[in-house]
Amino acid sequence: MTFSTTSWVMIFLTPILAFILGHLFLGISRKFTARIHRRVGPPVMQQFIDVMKLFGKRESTTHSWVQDMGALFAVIGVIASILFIPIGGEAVLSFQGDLIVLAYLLVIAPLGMALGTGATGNPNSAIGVSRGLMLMMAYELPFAMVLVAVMLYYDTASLGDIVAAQKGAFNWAILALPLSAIAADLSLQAMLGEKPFDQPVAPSEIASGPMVEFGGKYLGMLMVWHAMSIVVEAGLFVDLFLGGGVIFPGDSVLGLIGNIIVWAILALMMWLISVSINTVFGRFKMGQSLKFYWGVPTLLALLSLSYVVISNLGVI
Amino acid sequence: MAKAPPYPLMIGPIHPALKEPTMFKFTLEGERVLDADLQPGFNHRGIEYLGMKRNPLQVLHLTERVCGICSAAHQFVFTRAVEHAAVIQPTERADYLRVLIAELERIHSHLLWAGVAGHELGFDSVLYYTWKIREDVQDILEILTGNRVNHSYYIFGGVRRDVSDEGIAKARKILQGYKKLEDTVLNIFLSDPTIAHRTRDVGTLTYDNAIKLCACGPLTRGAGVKKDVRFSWPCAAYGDMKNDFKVVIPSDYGYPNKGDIFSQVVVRLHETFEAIRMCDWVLDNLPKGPITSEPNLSALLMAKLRMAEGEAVARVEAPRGEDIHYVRLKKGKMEIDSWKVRVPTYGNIMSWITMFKDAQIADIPIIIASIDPCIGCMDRVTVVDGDSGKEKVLGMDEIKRLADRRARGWK
Repeated sequence: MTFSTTSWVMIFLTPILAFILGHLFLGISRKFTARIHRRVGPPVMQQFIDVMKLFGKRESTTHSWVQDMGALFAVIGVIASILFIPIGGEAVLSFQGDLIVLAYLLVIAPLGMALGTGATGNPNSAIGVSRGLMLMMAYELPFAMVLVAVMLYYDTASLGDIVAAQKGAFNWAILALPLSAIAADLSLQAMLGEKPFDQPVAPSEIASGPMVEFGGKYLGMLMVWHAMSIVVEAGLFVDLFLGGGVIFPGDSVLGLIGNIIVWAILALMMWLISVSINTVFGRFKMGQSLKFYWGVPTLLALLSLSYVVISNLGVI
Repeated sequence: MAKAPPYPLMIGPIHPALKEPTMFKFTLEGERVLDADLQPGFNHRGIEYLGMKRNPLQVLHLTERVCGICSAAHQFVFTRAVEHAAVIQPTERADYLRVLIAELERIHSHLLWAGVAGHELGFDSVLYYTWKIREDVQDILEILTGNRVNHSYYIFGGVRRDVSDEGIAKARKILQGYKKLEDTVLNIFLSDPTIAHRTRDVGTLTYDNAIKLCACGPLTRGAGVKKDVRFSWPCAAYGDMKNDFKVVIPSDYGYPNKGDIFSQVVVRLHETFEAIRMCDWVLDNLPKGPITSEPNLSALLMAKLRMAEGEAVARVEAPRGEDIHYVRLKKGKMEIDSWKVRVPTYGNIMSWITMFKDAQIADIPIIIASIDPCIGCMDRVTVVDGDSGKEKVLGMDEIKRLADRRARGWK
């Protein structure tokens, strides 16, 4: 793979865009939740202020170099994943099979956090990490089936090709594979760590779990990771099912910018749907979450997958 | 793979699940609680000792500071104890107004609890909703007494200020608003699937255990024990309204008397709306007359309280359960001779241990919150020697000695 000058520029610009969008999304969602609670809420820029403040702090303690590396690992993992996500129809890194690489990269960032928190030796973090991994086991099953169904339907394992195939009016995958889209959105809820599936960070149960021993720059890094992972995960849904936000011809710079804006608005919409569900639910217990994910979403994903397989065989 | 051994988890002294400092030591296996132990003693303030250095009129204001939420209940029961000891008779109108304030306080305390319970279940929208409607009852309290939390309303022989017709009209309007909200609030808590999932069959205190462990308040009523001082030992205007109201237990409202947290939610919410009807009843039947039998404070203090000889125990149903004060007065002595406060939380903490049985980590916060603990009311001091790890409970003499040393500038 060779990189042109534009690609090099994009490699630097994409993470910055994801950073800005992620914090903007979080800021908007805090305002959004506040309005549902009939509060005033913090200003939209509060997330930027918080992160800047955290990065301005001095470290008082660190448990080991594994903790230092863990936080870094999480941020690097999420930066690597954002490079594979087509934003406005254009991904920085795109090749045949990149969706499979992305599926692995999505797990790397949480594992980095698990590594870092495991090194702190706090029982609250350990419980949080074990809950996170258990939850991952629950939602990855329907989500993997969704990915396979989409890949089989478009007969490609490249996210760029999937976006390109959805070009045109009413050609989005959400219309072709509605059951997969529902299953993916349900998985998205746990992936984003929103209620009722926020057990890994449950503040009143395990004191925010994994984050409990992190402070200052470490916490700042985890916040950056969280913000950017929202963009990655919501963006992945947009690319898979909502045509990647491509509605203008992407040849000109103006068209590309227009597509990026549409993509961002669609991703924000997905995030706000998740936040609205968040406000009307309490927190489930671990057992209840597992039971939920291996029930309805898995069934929906399986139905959709069998539909795709059968239609590919040419029976229908 | 070998089974992972049980591991310890400390919750406290400071933890987001706890609103006040206390400590729980859990032994866990995975997410399941195997064993639980409780260690209070982080928030002792020596308030009874402070009280014994002051005269009853001064202690009256100290009693409010025993608890931040049921401040009126403590003042109510203390005035009753002193009135018994010094033989002072409150007027009839005062008796009714005392009950009015006590019931308004029950509304605000139960709504506050409902919000906290929602928060412990991760349901923050409920927290903000209940605390918003709680503001209205705080408004009534402010209109009637002049203050939102520490009302300073009760005094020996009566109450400190009368309610105006204008105030009563405003209070009635707000109470009417609450009646309209009844269905909404009950619907939010009792029909919501996540709340039902998280509270049904969780933290169960059985009927037998409730009696054996001497628990009190809504905790026992959830198990079906009809234990309510307002009805079993009525004081003030409660005796007059005995025929119109009855003890709230879940089976009267179509729910089983299981004693789990869901039953407690049922009891507390229905008690809230029962209290609203009680307030209405009091406003309807408010007798005319003076608000205190002894308006002259110095006469009250010098003639009646200083010359009184005797001891008394009084009890009142605070929002959290039975609140008991013991007071002893000596003739010719300005200060209270002895004062003992037994708060509802002290009677309820033992229930925790049985409630934690077979719970999961996710249940711990809601079980802790379910008895509506008020650690600040309850705590006694324990000192741990950092070098040897030994613990000892300090008695009065020891605290006095240490305080004297500190006053002399030693460490």
